[in-house]
Amino acid sequence: MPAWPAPMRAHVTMQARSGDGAFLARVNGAAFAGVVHSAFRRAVNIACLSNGELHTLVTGDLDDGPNSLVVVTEDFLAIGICQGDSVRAGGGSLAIAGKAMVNVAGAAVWRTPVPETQCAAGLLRRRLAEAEAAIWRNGTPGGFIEGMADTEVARLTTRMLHEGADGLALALGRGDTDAALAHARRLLGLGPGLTPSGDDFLTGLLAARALCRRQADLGSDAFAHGVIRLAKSATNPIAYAAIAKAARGEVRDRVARLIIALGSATAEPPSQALAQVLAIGSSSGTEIAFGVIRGLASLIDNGEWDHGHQDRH
Amino acid sequence: MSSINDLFSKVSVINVGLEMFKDDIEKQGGSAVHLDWRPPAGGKPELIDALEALARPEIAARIEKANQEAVERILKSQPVLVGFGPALEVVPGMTKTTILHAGPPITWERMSGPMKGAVTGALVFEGLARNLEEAAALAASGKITFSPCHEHNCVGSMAGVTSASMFMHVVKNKTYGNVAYTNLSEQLSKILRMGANDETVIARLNWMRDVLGPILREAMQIAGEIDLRLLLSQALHMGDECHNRNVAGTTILIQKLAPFILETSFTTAQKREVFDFVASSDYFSGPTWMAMCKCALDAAHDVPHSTILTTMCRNGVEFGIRISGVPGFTWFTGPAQKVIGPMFAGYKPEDSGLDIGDSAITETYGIGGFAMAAAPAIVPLVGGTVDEAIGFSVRMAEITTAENPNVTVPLLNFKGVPTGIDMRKVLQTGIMPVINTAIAHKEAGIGMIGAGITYPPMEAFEKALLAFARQEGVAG
Amino acid sequence: MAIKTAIKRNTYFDSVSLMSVTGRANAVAGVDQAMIGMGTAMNKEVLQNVGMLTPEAAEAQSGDLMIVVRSASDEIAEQALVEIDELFKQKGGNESGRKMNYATIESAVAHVPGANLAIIAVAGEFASREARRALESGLHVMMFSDNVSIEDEVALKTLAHDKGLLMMGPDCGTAYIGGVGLCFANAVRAGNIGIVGASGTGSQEVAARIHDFGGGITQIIGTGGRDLNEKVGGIMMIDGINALARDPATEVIVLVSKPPAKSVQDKVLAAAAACGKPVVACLLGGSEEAVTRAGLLFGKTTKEAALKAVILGGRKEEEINKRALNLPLIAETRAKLKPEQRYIRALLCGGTLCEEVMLIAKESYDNVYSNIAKDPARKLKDVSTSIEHTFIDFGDDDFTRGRPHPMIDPSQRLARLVQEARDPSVGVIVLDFILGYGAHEDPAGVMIPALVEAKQIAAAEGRHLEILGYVLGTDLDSQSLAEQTAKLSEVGVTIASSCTNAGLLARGFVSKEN
Repeated sequence: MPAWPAPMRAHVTMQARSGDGAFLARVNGAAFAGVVHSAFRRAVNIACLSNGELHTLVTGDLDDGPNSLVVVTEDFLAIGICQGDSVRAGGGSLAIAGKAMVNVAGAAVWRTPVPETQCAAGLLRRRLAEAEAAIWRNGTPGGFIEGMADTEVARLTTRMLHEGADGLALALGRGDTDAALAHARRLLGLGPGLTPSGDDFLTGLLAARALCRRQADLGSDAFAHGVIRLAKSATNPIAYAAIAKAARGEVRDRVARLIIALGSATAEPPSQALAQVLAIGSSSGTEIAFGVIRGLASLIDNGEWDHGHQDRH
Repeated sequence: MSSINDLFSKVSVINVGLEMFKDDIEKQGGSAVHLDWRPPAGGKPELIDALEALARPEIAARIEKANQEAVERILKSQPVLVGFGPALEVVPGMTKTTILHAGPPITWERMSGPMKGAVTGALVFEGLARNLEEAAALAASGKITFSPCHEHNCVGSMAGVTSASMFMHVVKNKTYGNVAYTNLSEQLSKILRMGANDETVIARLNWMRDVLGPILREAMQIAGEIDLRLLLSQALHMGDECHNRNVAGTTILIQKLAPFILETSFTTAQKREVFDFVASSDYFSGPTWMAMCKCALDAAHDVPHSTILTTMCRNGVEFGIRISGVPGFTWFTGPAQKVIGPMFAGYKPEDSGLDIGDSAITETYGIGGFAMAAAPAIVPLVGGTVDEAIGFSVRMAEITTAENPNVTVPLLNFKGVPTGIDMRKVLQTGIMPVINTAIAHKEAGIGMIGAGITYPPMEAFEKALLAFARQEGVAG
Repeated sequence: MAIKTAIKRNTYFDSVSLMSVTGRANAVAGVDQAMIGMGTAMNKEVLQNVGMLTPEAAEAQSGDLMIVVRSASDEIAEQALVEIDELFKQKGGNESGRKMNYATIESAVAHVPGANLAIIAVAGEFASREARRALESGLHVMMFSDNVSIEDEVALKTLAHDKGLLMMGPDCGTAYIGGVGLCFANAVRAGNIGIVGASGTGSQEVAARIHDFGGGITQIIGTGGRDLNEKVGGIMMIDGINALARDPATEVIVLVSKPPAKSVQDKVLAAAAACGKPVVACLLGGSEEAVTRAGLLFGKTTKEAALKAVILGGRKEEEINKRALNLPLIAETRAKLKPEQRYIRALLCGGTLCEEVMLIAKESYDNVYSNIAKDPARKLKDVSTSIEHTFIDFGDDDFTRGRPHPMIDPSQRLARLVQEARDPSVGVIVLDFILGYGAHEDPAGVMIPALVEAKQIAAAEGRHLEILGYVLGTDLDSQSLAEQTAKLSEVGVTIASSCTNAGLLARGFVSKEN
C-alpha cells in the first residue's frame, strides 16, 4: 500500500545517481517522513521524524556518504529548497515540499568501502609522515592550519586544537580511554565552520580507527562509544551525525578511500585520495585528513595494527 | 530618441554624480539608475585634454574606423596549432645564448626574484653554466642576450623564460598567416617559470625536451592542425575562463592529441609518461590558449590610428602595454602591481612577487578575467560571489569595442566575450582591465604560492594616451 | 573596546561561506577582530579566554551561529554587524536580483530601456563632457553642475536644440517633469500650469504659490540662470515654451527669470506671444511695458505671477485665499524697534528669493548691498561684513565653492545669523527655509538654537530683534510645512506666507516714515 493516497507533485524532478544502501531502502520501501533541517547549494540535510537521524542529499559533484543520496543536480537553493520544508518518501521517490522530487530507481547502492588488506606498520608510518607533510603543504587554513584570519580567536583556537589532538593521540596510543575522552571533549565543537574543526578531526580519527581496527565492531571500542555520547550535546546535529556514523565505520567515500590508500597493502599512492579529501568544504577536509593520520597512528602505537599481514619487500 | 513631449509623460533618469537625487526620484515612484561615475583619466587635466582632442569628430571618426579594422582582425583570426619544435629551430631571432622573458624589456640587474631564478635555471638547463652561481655570473656578464618574448612572436607564462632547446607550440593564423609561439606547461607549482630551479626542475625540463616535446612534435606531424579557437570556445562553455581555470580546455586538448600521440613511434611507457604528465595538472593547455591569443592579437597590431590594445604583459617589475596604432615594439609601462588572492598554506601576502607573465594576453583577447562569468567555479579565487564574477565580465564590456561571436558565455545568454580593449575607454571610465593570474614567490627558487586577480597600473595607459595623441598630431 | 554579538538561531551556512565571511568581517574598517562560529561550548570557551564572551553569546546553542565583533566603539561594532549581515545576505542572495552598475552613460543607455533623461551633478570641469555624451546618446539633460563655461553652454544647448532635446542648465537646480520633482523641487498638485524658469528657487516659489492658491503644475522646465544671457540667446527658454505649447495638459505658461538682455527678451517674448497659450511673464525687475506690449501678462512678483496663472487656469478669483499683507503687524513691529534699528539683513539660501526680497527693498531704499548686486557700487566687497541693508545669497559661488549648498549644509548661515544679531543697527533679519526634495530634512530645526541665541543677544542689550522667516514648501512636502512653521513661531520668528510678502514685510518693519 502506498503510504499516502494523493500523487506527489513536484516542480523539479531529479534522479539519484547513487546512495547509501539503508537510505535507498527507506525511500524504496516503507514511508519516510522528515523535515529539511538545513539547506545549502550543494547539500540538503533532512531530519527523519521517526528516528531523528540526519539524511543528506548532495549534488552530483560530491561523493557518496552515510545516509546520503547523490542527486544529479547542481544547486538545491536554486530549486527553492529551504529549512523547514516537509519531506516525504516511499515507493521509490522522495518529495520535498512540492518543490522537488527525487527518483531513486536505478541508483547505485553505496556502502562505505573497507580496506581488505593492511600494509606493514613501517610502510604505514612512512605514508603517514608523507601525507602529513602534504597536508601542511596543501591544506586549507582555518582550524589546524593557522593563517585565515590573524586574530586572537583564531590563534587560540588553533592552539587548543593542537593541544587536544596531541593529547588525544598520546592517550589513545597508550590505551588510556578516560584521558582520551577528556581530550575529545575539548575538541568537540571547537573551531570555525559549519562543522567545527575539532569535530571534523574526530570524524577522520574515528573513521580511520573503526575501519582499520582488528576488531572492527563498535562494541569493543569504549572510546568511540564515549565520543558519540559526548558529541550529542557538545556540537550541532550536522557535525554530530558525521561523528556518530564515523564511530561506526561509516564515512563519506573520499575519506574511506584515503584511509584505504594509506592503510592497505596493495593500494595506489595516497596522494590522489588525499587531494580529494582536502577539497572537502573549506578547511573541513584538512581537519578530517589530520584526524585520519592521527587515528591510524594511534592504532600502531597501541599495538592494534595487525602485524600478521606484513608486506613482502 | 525621446522627444521633449515623450519626456513629459514618463521620465526615466540616469543619475550622474550626487546620489541623493536618485533616491528622491525613487521616493516619488520615478525610475532612476545611478551611474558608478568617476572623473575621466583620474581628473588629470593634461590627459583630459588629450582625450578631448581625440574626441574631435574628424579624429574620432578616424580612430573608430581603425579600431573597427583592428577588432575585425582579432575576431577573424583563426589560430590553429600546427606543430611543436625547439625554440632554436622555430622562433625567429633565437640563438643559443638568447633568453626570452615575459613582459616589456628588462635588464638582468632589474629582474625580479622569480625571473632571476628562472634565468639561472635555464642557463644550467642549456648547459651554459654548471650551477646556479655560475649561471648568475654568466647572466650578469653581458654574454647572454635578453629579449622580451613578445618581440619574437612569443608569449611566456609567468617568468616566461624561454631558452634555445625548449620545445614551443607553433600556432599559425589561418586567416592572416602570422605565427605565434609559446613554451610548454611544466605543470605543478615548483617550476622554472615560477622561479624554481633545483635539480627536480631541471630534470623535468630535460624530460620535456627529450620525451614530451618530441612526442608532441611527432603527434602534430601526424595530426596536421588543430583548430584552437573552436576548442577555446568549447572550453568556455565547459566552465573555463582559460587563464586560471583550464580543466576543461586541457581535457579537450588532450582528447584531440591523444590518438596522434598513440600513433607516434615512441614506447608505450613514454606515451604513458606523457599522459600522466598531462593529467598531473589542469594547467597543461594554459600556454596553448596564450599562443592562440597572441596569434590573433599580433594580426591586429600596427593598424594606423587604432587605440586597441594588442599586448598586456608584465616582467615582475613593470607592466607593459602595446597599442595597435603605435607601430612596432613601443612599450608603455608602469609598475607591476600586487596580485590579490588566496595563498597556499604557509605563505603570506608579503611573500608574493609582483604581477608577472605574458599570460595577460588572454585578457587582451577577451578571456581570462574578462570571461569570469563563464567560470563561476573560480569565484573562490576572487573571494567573492558569482554575481561579482559576472559583474567583471559585464564591466569589461565598458572598456572594449566588440563582442566575440565565436567565443561566448552561456550564463550571459551566450553573449560574446568583451573584445578589443580601447585605451581611450580605460582612461575615460577609470575601469581597469581585470586580470586573473598566479602568484609566484618573490624569491628565486620557490615557485607558485597562490593565485588571484590584479590590474594594470594606470600609468601605462596615461603614457600611451599622451604618446598616441602626439603621434596623431593633436597634443603637445 | 566595545563587543557586540549577533546570534543567528538554528541557522546553517556552509563552511566555505562562513570562512569567506569571517575573512571579510575581519577586514571591515574599524573591526579589531570578528569571530563567526557555531555556538558550541568549546567555541564559547575560546571567546571567554579572549574576553569576548557576551551574555548573548553565552546563551547560544550548538546549532546557533554566533557573530561576535570587537572594535573601538559601540557604533563601529554595530555598523560592523550590519555589514557582516550584508555579507551573509550576499552569500545567500539569489542571482535573479542582480544589480548591475554602469560606469558610463553609453552603457547605462544600452542596458536601461526607456532611459530618457540624464541628471549631471559632477564637478564643473567634467560636467560638459558628460552632458555632451548624454545628448549624443539621445538623452535629455538636466545639468545641476555649475562652473561651466558659457561657450560650453552654448555648444551643448545648440546640440540639444538640433536634436530636439532639453538641455536644462548648467546650474539648473529645479525641474518637475512627468510628475517627478528633480533635484530641488517641491511636491505639488498636478494641474494645467507649466513653468519655464531660468532661476531654480524662482520656479519653486511660483509653483508653491500656485499650489497654495489651489492651482496645479504640469511641468517645470529649468533652463539654468544664463539662458537669457546674450550669448546663449534664450535657446532653452524658447524650446521650453514651445514644448509646453505642444503639451496638451498645459493650458497656462509662466516664465520666471531675472530681466533678460534686451535682444534676448524680444526674442523670448515674441516666441511666448506666438505659442498660442496664455503666458504670464515674471521677469523680476523687468519692464512691464515690454511684456504687455508683446501681448503677455506681467507678473511683477512671484506671488502675482502665480495668482494670475491660477486665475487664467480657471480658479475663480473670489475663491482664492490671496494671503493679503498683514498691515497691522507692520505697525506693531515698527513700534517695537528702536530708532537706530534701521536695517534689513536678509540671509537667504534661495537665489531668486534673495533677488526678489532685495528688489522690493530697493523700491524704498537706495542703500541696499548684496553679494549678488549687479551694480559694482552696491556689491559687497567683503561678503562676511554687512553694510546697511544687506542681502546675502548663500547659494552663490562666494559661499559654495568647495562646500555643499546651504540648503544642505546650514553652518555658514548659522554663524552669520548670530553675527547680525549683535549689530544694534539691525531691525529685521530675513531667513528662508526651503523644503522639498533635495533639501535638508529639518531646515527649521537646525536653525532653532541659533535663532534663540540671536534673540537672546538682542534682548540682553535691551533691543527687540525682529526675525522674519519664510518657509518655501507645500503641504505635500515630506518635511511637514505645518511643523516647520510651528517650530519657528515657537521661538518668536514671524512667518511670511510668501517670498513677496517677506520682502514687503521686511521693508515695512524698518520703514521710519509714515
